[in-house]
Amino acid sequence: MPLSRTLRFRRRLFIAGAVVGLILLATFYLVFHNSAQAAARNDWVAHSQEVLTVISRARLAPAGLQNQVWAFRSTHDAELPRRFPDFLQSLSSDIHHLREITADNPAQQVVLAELTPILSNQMASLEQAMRRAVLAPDEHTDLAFDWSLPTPLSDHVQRLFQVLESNERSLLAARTGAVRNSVFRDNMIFLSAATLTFAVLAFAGWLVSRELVTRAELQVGIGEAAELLGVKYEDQRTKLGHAIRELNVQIRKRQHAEADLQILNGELEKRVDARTLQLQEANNELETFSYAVSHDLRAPLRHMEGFSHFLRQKYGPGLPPEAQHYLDRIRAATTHMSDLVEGLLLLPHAGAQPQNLLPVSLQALFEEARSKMQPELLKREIDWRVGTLPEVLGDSVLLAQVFANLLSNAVKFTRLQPHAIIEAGSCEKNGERVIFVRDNGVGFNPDFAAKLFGVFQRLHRQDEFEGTGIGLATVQRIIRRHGGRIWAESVTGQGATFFFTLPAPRKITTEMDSLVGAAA
Amino acid sequence: MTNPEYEILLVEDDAADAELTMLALQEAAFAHRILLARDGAEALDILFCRGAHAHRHFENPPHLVLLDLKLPRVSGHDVLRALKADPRTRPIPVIVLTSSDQDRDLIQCYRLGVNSYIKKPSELLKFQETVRHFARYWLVVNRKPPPAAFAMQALGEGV
Repeated sequence: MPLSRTLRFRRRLFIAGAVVGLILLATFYLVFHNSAQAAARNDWVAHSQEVLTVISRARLAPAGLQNQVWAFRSTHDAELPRRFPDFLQSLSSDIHHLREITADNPAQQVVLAELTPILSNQMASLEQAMRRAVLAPDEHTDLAFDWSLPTPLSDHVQRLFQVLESNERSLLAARTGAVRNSVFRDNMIFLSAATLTFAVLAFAGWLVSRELVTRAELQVGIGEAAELLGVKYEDQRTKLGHAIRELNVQIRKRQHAEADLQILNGELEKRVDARTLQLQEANNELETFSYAVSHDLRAPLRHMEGFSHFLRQKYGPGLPPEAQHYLDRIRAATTHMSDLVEGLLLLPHAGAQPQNLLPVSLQALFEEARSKMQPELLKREIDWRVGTLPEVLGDSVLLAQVFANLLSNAVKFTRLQPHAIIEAGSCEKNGERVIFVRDNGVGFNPDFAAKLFGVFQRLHRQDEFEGTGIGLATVQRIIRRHGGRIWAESVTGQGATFFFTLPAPRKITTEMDSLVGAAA
Repeated sequence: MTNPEYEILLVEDDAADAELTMLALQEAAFAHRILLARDGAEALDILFCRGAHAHRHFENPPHLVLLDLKLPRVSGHDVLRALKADPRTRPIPVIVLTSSDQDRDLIQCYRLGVNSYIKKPSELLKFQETVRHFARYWLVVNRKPPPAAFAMQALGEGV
C-alpha cells in the first residue's frame, strides 16, 4: 500500500516538525522570560554593589574629616576649612542616599536609623572642632581633647557600618547566586531544547532516510520488475514476430498452392470441357443414329409386317401349306427384327443418367410390372411369392423397366415348369440391402453367367426361348447408372436368381453431399 | 348407313407407308377421299390452294391431315408450322403419324400446335385399330367450326 505508507510518512514528518516547532517556541518563551528576570536580578546585584560602595565611602568619611581638622591644626592651611562643609555635605548626602536605596530593606533601615543620629553628632563635633581651630589656631589642648573624643563613637559607628556592609554583602551573595542559578537554568533549558530538537530532528532524519531507502529499494524493485516485464514482453514480441513470419510463410505457401491449384483446376476444367464437348458430339451422333434407326430402320420392317399381313389375309387360304409356312417365317423374322430394333433404341435411354431421382417404392413398381404382364399370364398359373421390397432413390421409369424385363424373363423361363414359382424380396448381405427376383425355371449354365448381361448375348436357343439378348443388358445399365450392382446365380435346370443393389435414399444424398464437399 | 364423304390429306413420301395407311383407312369402313402429297411442298400447295391446286377453295379444306415428319424438300414440321400459323388453315385437325418417338419431335410438334401425335405401331393389326380410332374421333365425334367461318375468321384477323 504505497499511498497509505506515504501518508503515514508524511504524518510522522509533520509531527516531528510540529514537535521541533513547539520546542523552539518553548525555548524562545523561556529564554525571553528568563532574560527579563536575569536583567532584574543583575539590577539588584548592581544595586547591592552601589549600596556597598556608598557604605564604604560613608564609613571612611568621619576619619577623613578628623584628619582634615588635624591637618589644619598643624599646617593652618586656609584651604582646608573652606572645603570642609563640602565634605560634610557629601557625607550627609551619602547617608541620605543610603537610606533611600535601602528603603526596601527593613533590616538596613533599622541599622541606618541607629547610625544616622550618631553620625550627625559626630559631624557636628567635627564642625565645631574645625571652627575652634580656625578661631584659636595655636591652642593645642583642644586637640588632645578632641582626639580622645570621637574614639568610642567611632568604634560604635564602625560596628554599625560593619553590620550594614555584612547585611548588604550577604544580600549581594544571595543575588549573585540567583543570577548564577538563572544562568545555569538557562543553559539547561538550551541544552535540553537542543538535545530534544536534535533527537526529534534525528528521528525525522531517520524517518526520511528510511523512507528514502525504502523508496530507493522500491524504485530498484520497480526498475527490476519493469526490466523483467520488458524482457518478458520483448520475449513474447519476438515469439509473436516469429509466429507471424511463420504464418506469413504458410500463407504465401498456401497462396502459391492455391494459385497452382487454380491453374490445375483451370486446365482440368478445360480438359473436362473438351471431353464434355467430345462426349456431346458423340452423343449427338448417337442421337442422330438412334433417330435414323427409329425412323428409317423401323419403316421397312413395318412395311414387311403390313404387307405380309395383307398377303396372308387376302390370299393365305389359297396358298399351298409350304408357301404359308414361308410366309410365317417371314413374319416371325420381321417381328424379331422389330423387337431387336426396339431393344436397341431403349439401350441409350437405359444408359442415360437417371433424370428424376426421387424416392421410389419398389413394391409399387413390382406390382405395376406384374399387372402389365396380365395378358400373358392369363394362360399360366404362377405361384407368386412377393416379400417386402424397399424404397429407393431413383428414376421410376427406368426402374420400372428393370422389373418389366426381369419379370418377363422369369415368366418366360418358367414356361415349361408345371408348378411355376416366382419370388421377389429383399435381404441384407454384407451390410448391403439386396433385392432379388427368383424363379424355378430352366436356369442357365453358371459357366456362362459372365455373358448374361452382354448385349445380344443369349444363353438359350431362339427356338427354345425367344429373345433379343438386350433385356438384361438394359437392366444392368439401369442398375449401374443408379450406383448399384447386379448379378445372377443359377444351376442349370433349377431356376435362376437375379440380385441387385440400389442405394437407399439417404445414401445417395450422402454421396452427393460428399461430392459437393469435394468439389468445394 | 352411309357416312358423308370425308376428304383426308395424307402427307407421306414413302410409297409403302402411304399404301399401308390408305389400306388401313379403307379397312376403317369410312367412305374416304384420300389426297396424297408426296412431300411438304405439295402438301402446302393443296392446303393453301395454289400451284396445281389453285382450283381449291379455303372454304373446302381437307377434313383431316395425316402428316409424316421426315419429308423431302419441306419437312413435316414446316408444313405444320405454316398450317397452324395461318388462321384460314388453323382449325384443320392435324395428326402427326410417324415412326419416330423422339422426344424432341414430340415436343416441337405440340409447340407448333399439332392436334395429335401418333407413333405408327409396327404391327399392322394395331395400326389398323389406331387408324380406326382416330378417324372416327376426328371425323365423326369431334365438332369443328363450319368451313365458311374459316374465311370470316381470316377476314377478321386481316389476313
